[in-house]
Amino acid sequence: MAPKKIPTPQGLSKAVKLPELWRKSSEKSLGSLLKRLRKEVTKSRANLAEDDGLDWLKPRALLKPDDQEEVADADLEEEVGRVLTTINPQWVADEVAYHYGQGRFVVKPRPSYGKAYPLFVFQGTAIRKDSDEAKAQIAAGYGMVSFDDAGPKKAKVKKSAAEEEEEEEPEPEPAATGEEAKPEEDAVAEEEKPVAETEEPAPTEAGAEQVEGEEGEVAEEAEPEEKQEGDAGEEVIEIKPRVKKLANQFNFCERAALTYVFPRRSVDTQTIPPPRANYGSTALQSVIFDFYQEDYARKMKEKEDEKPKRMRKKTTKHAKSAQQIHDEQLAQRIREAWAILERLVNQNIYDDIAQDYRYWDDPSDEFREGMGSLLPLWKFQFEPMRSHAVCDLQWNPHYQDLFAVAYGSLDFTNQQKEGCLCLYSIKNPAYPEYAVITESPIICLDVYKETPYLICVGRYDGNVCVYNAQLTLEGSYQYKSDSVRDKHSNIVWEVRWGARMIDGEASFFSISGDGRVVQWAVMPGELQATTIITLTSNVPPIPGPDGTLVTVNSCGSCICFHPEKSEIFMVGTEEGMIHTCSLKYNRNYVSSVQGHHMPVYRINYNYFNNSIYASCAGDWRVKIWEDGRDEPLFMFELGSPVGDVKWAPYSSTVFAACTADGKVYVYDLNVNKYRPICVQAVVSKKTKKLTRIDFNARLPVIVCGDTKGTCHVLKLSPNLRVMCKPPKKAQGVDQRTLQIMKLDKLLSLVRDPPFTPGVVDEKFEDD
Amino acid sequence: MATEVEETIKRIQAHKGVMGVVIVNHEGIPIKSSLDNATSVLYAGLIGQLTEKARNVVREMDSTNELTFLRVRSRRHEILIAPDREFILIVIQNTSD
Repeated sequence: MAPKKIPTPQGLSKAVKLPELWRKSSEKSLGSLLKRLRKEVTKSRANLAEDDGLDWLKPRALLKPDDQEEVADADLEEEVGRVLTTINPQWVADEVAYHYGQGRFVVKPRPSYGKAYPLFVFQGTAIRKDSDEAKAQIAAGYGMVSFDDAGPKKAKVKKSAAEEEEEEEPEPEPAATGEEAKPEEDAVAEEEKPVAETEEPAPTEAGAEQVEGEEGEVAEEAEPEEKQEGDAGEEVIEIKPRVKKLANQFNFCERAALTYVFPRRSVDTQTIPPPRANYGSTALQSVIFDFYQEDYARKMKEKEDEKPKRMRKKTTKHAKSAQQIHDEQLAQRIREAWAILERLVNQNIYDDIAQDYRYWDDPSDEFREGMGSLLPLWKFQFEPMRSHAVCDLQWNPHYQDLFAVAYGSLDFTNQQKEGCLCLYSIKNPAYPEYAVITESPIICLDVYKETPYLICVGRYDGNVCVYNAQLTLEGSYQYKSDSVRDKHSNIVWEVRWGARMIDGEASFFSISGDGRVVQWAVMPGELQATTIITLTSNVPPIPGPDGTLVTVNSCGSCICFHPEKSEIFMVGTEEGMIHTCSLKYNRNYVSSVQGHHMPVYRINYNYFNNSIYASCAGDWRVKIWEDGRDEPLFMFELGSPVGDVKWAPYSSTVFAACTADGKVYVYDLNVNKYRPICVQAVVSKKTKKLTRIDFNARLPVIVCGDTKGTCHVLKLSPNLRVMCKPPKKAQGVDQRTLQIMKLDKLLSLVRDPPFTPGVVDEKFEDD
Repeated sequence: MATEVEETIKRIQAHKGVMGVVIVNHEGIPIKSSLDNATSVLYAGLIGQLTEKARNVVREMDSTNELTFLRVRSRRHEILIAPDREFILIVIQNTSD
C-alpha cells in the first residue's frame, strides 16, 4: 500500500503568513513624505501669520543645520507612495550557503517567518505526533478513530492549524531540503494540482505581485517553497486498528458529589471580669533593703532545710514554732516600748531633777573652804515595800544608772513576812525595773561583776539565793540553797561573790549569825555549800540542860574580801571582833583584832591601797585600819550607830558613812583628818534611820537607804569630789597614781609618831 | 506578761501630766484608749502618718537603722510615740506646768 498524501490546504498556511506586513520604504517615498510634511508646516505658518495676535512670529526664519543637503524643490515636491505588503520584500527566496559537510551549496533553510509578530497565542491541547509524549500514547494503543475500521490502514494525521500556530520556534525541517523532498514531490505531483488551483484565486496576493514587479516574482517563487514546506509538515503514521480512545478534553466524564455543609453558628459567652484594684507605693531604698534581707533569710532557711534530717532534728526539737517566737518577740517589744515610754514620761516629770543632777553644782562650795554638801535628787520607793527597810543596796558594776536594793526588816521584834529584791534605774524613779517579792526578808545582796544580771541574796531565814534579772518571770530565783541541808541557821548578814573556782564555777560566800562562813558553788541547777570556817568565840563551852557542853560560836555580821588576795577575807562579828581569815585555814584566824565594842556592820577596803580598810559598828564609830596594825589609823565617832561605811571610788581619802539618826557623813582625810567635810541629814531621825550607803562607780552620786523603804540618791557637791592636782614636778601622772601618792603621804604623817586612840577621841568633836 | 503591761499602762496614766494613752494596732485603728473616741481616732490617724514618714526618713538615711521612738514637743503637750511594725503606742503628756 502506497502511502497516501493529503495535500495541505494552502489557505491555512497563508493565513499564518498574513501578519507579515512589510512596509516598502525607499529614498523616494521618504522624500515625498518630507515634502508633504513641509507643505503642511508652511501652510499652518501662513495661517498663523494672518493672525494679528501672533505678529511676533513673523520674522522667524526656518533654521536648518549647515550640513543639511541642499535638495531641489522639484525633488522635494515629488510624491512617494507607501504600501504595506504581507510579503517581506527584502527576503531572498533562494539563499544558498556552502555546506562543508556535504561539500556543496545547499539551500539555506528559511526561517518560517522572520520579523513576525505574534498577535495572539493560544495553547492548544493537541500534541505533536512525533513528540515523545504522543509516541508513548500511540504505543499504548490510543489513537484517532475517525476513519473506518476496515482493516489496518495508513492514516495521515494532519496537524491542526492551531498546532501549526503553536510551533513558534523556527524548527529546522530537514524534509524541506530539496533532495529529501523531491522523491516525495514526484510521488504526489498529480495530487498537488488542486492545491495550486485553490491558491490561484487569491486576488490580493496576485495584485500585489503585479504592482510591485520584482517583489512579486520573489513571492511567486516562494510559493512552491511554501508548498514544499506544507508537505513536509505532514507525516504519515501507521495507525493500528484502534482500540482505546485518547483522552481529550471532550472525552471524559466528570463526577461530582456535594458533601453536607454544616451550618455555621457563633456562640459567645462573657466571663466575669477579673477583679482589679489600683495599687500605688513608693519604692524606698529601705523597702528594697528589707526585701533583700527577707530573701536572704529565706535562702538561708532553704539551705538549712537541705541539710540531712538527722542533723536537723536536734535543732527542731527545741525550736519553738514561728508563731510562738513571733508572739514572744512581740510581747517583749511591747514591754520594752512601755518601759521606755514610762521613762520618757518620768523624764518629763522629773526634768528639773535630771537637770540638777547633770548640771547643778552648789556654787556656795567655792566660798566654803573644804566643806561640801549633798544635793538630794530622786527618791526611790516601791509601794509594797513601804514598811520595809532597805537592808542593802549596791550600784550595778556594769550599768551606771542601775542599782539593786534588798528589802527586809531590821526590826526583829516585828519581823516582816516577806522581802523584795528590786533593781532601780535613775531613769525611772517611779518604779523599779525589776522587782521580785521573796517569801523571806532579804538582808544582803551582791551583784556579780562578771555577769551583772546575777545577784546573790542572803535572807532572814538563813537561805541564800541567786536571782537572774534577765528572767522576767516574777518571783523566780535561779538558785536557792537547800532549806533543810545547807542553809544557815541564822540570819545571813552578808553575801559576797568570790573568785571562780578551779573548775570554773562561780561561787559566793555568805556569813551568818550562826557563825559559819559558807562558800556556795553555783552548780548547774543547785548550790553546793562548803563551810569555810566556823567562828569560835572566847566564851567557854556552856553546859546544856542535860549537862553536855555546847560550844558557842561567835556571830558573824559582815565579811569582806581582800581586793587582790582572793583567799584572804575579813570577818566582823557581833562582839566587835574583826578576824582576818584565809580560805586555806579553816581552823584558825590569820589575825584577830578587837575592832569595836558592838556588832561590826561593814568592813570596806580602800580602792587605792589594799592594806587600808574602814570598818563601822553599832558603837557609833568608824575606824580606818591598816593591815597588820592592831590599832586603827583613824577613828571617828558619829554619835549614832553607823550602818555603813564606804570608800569613794574616785578618791583615796574620801569615804562616806550613814548613821541611824539619818545623817550622811563624808570625810576627806586629805582635807580634814578629824572632822567630816559634809554632814547632812537626809531623813528625819525621828521616824527613819539610814541603813546603807553606796558610791556610784562613775557618777558623782551616792545612794542611801532608810528603814522606810526609800532610797535617796544624792549628788556630791564639787568640794566632796576634789581630784588631785598633779604637782609641777610630775605633770602627766595619772589620777590613780596621784591618789595613791596622796594616801601614802597622809599615812606617813599618821604612822609617826605612834598615837593612841585617845588622841583621836580628844580631837573629835561631835556636831 | 499581760498583767505586767496592764500595770505599766495604769502607772503611766497615773503619772503627773499624762493626759491620755492610745494603743494603735498595725492597721492604724486605736484598740485601746483613755481618750474619747474622736480624739483617739484623730491621734491614731495623724500620728500613724507622722510615724511612717519619720520611719522612712530614718530608713532612707541608713537602711539598717530603725526608728525606735518619737517625741513631739509642743507648747502645751508632749506626744511620746513608741512605733513598731505591729503597733504604735502614744502617750500624751501635759508639760506646760
